[in-house]
Amino acid sequence: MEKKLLTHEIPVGVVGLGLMGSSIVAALLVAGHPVKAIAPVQSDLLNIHDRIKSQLLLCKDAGLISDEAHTYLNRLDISDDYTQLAPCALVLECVIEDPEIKKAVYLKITRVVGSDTVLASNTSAIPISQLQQFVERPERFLGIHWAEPAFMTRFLEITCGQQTDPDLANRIYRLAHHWGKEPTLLRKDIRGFITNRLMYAVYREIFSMLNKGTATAEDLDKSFRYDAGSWMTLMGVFRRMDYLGLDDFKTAFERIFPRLDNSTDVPPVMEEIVRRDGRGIHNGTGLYPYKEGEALKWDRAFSQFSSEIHELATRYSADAIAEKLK
Amino acid sequence: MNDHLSSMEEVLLTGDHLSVYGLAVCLLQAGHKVQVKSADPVTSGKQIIRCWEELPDEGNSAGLDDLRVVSSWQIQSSPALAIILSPEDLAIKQSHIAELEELLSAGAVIGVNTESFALSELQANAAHPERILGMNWVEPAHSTLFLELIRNETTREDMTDRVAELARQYWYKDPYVIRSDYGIRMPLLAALVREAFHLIENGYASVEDIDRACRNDAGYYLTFAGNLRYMDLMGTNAYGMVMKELNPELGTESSVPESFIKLVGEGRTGMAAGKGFYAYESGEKAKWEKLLREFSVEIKDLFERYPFPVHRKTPQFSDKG
Repeated sequence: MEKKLLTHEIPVGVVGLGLMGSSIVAALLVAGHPVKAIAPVQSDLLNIHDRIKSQLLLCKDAGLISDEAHTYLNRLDISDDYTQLAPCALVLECVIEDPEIKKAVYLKITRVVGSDTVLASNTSAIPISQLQQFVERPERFLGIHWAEPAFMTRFLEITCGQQTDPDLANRIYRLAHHWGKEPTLLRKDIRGFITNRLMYAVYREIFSMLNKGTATAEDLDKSFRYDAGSWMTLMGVFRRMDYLGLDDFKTAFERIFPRLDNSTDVPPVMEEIVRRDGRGIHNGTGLYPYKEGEALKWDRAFSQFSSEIHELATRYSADAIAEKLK
Repeated sequence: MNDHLSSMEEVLLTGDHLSVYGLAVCLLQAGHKVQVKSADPVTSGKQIIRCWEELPDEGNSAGLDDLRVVSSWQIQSSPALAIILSPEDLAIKQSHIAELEELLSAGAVIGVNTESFALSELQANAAHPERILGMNWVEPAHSTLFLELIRNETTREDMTDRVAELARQYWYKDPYVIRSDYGIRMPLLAALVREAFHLIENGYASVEDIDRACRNDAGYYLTFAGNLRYMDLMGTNAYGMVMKELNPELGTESSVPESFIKLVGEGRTGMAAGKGFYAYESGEKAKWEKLLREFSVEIKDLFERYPFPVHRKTPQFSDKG
């Protein structure tokens, strides 16, 4: 793989075509790969072609692609037939976070692909070391964790399990640069990886404050959004602390760390939402109330925003910032 | 303008925190008369003017004539609002409060920034504890919507309400009021940093990895939605399912890591010192400041339009009528 990579010569499979899966399909198409998209659940096939097409149109609007959407769609095969995956050099699994279901999916994949085909999971919750136990030749298994919408963000976490071949991880890391990502390679596996752990630590504190009545949901959202949301596209948290000065943070953290919430339970309000299958704006049951038709408004606004923040973030990419600081 | 707000036409600003400059500009834009007390008035004055001159033209209708930067207070009228923006040090904050209480009438409000000290600690030695409230900002304070107001049982509610109303109407802020002894902003950030330290100390990630994760994941949505709203957008129940497995494994350290204490102990206190978590070349801090100010103008534009457009006309405080 030392020679120049030609993504259109590397077919990639995606298994699981929900919100994340379809967005990853679009990201890979935009990167130039031929994509074999497999729907393990029949309902995933519903409107899938239109969904991916509309994502490609968003990419077109955002200036991410130069050719027309159909040029990319011509490189896409959608099916519920796993044998379609046979030519793939890499297969990404994006099915629900259930180890048993993932195990069954891996078996179906490994039956049809070559023994050197790389297998990856988009899991954000299950350790890679655990999932790779389910795969024949576990050294070819790793985590490739995307952020939604996958075709817009620079985010990608590549995670090695205990048995993952480090050379293979390096190869995927290099390939990911051809996907317009600023990937992070985690050589040591931990549940939730980096970004989820950071945010779930914040969620734990948020739910503790909600529970105690210290603040309302609106206050808590305003607080983090107006603070971190006003600089996090430009600076990570350590850069921000360097910027503001570490003395004050040392004093504050020494006093605040002992007061932070350490609970291990799922917050009651979240338990209730899980019990009611609350999918937020998607079925009107979530942390905020939603009126009829409101979901569509949020969805549209977020798509538009994603396109704009992508444009802004590109102008403040790691390379662009280095250039500005010269 | 409402009469009960007009008494706050003149604002005193003190404490030599980095955010003083932006806050001075924020208050001037709103039409206040602003007196800034600084240990180094010449440098502070230059910094404020530089912030001011970088404003888009539309913001420049008010003048710098209403600004005075002094080394000792020059009180002629009777200011009804003073704001302290000082380092995180209880004694320093208390001395600012004591100094202001000498100058101000009993009905004047004193807002003080505090990330970790209880409001009651700040009120403890005050002659009029009921007029002291917590006021926390986000740098640069003239282009961010953030304002955290903290009031406890001692603080007069009408005073808090007046400040919140001023902030909403004239300062281009969307404040929230916490009825407690402590604010919520720093604990939320501290929770994130504690987990980041946990990952670094256990060899899972580097400082660079953490920062890349912040920028490239949360950096793509936090401007649009806070955490709870974001869960609703992505599908709330999935977060509940992940919490079941993940919450028991999150860091629970009650102290900051030795490596961080050592860093600060060695004088590696950030950009101003030329080194912190990262190393900086000479002059790099000024470049970061400029970069942040440029970026802030752009991100402010997104805040105005998303999730849904908000018309935040900021009428001039001095346009009486």
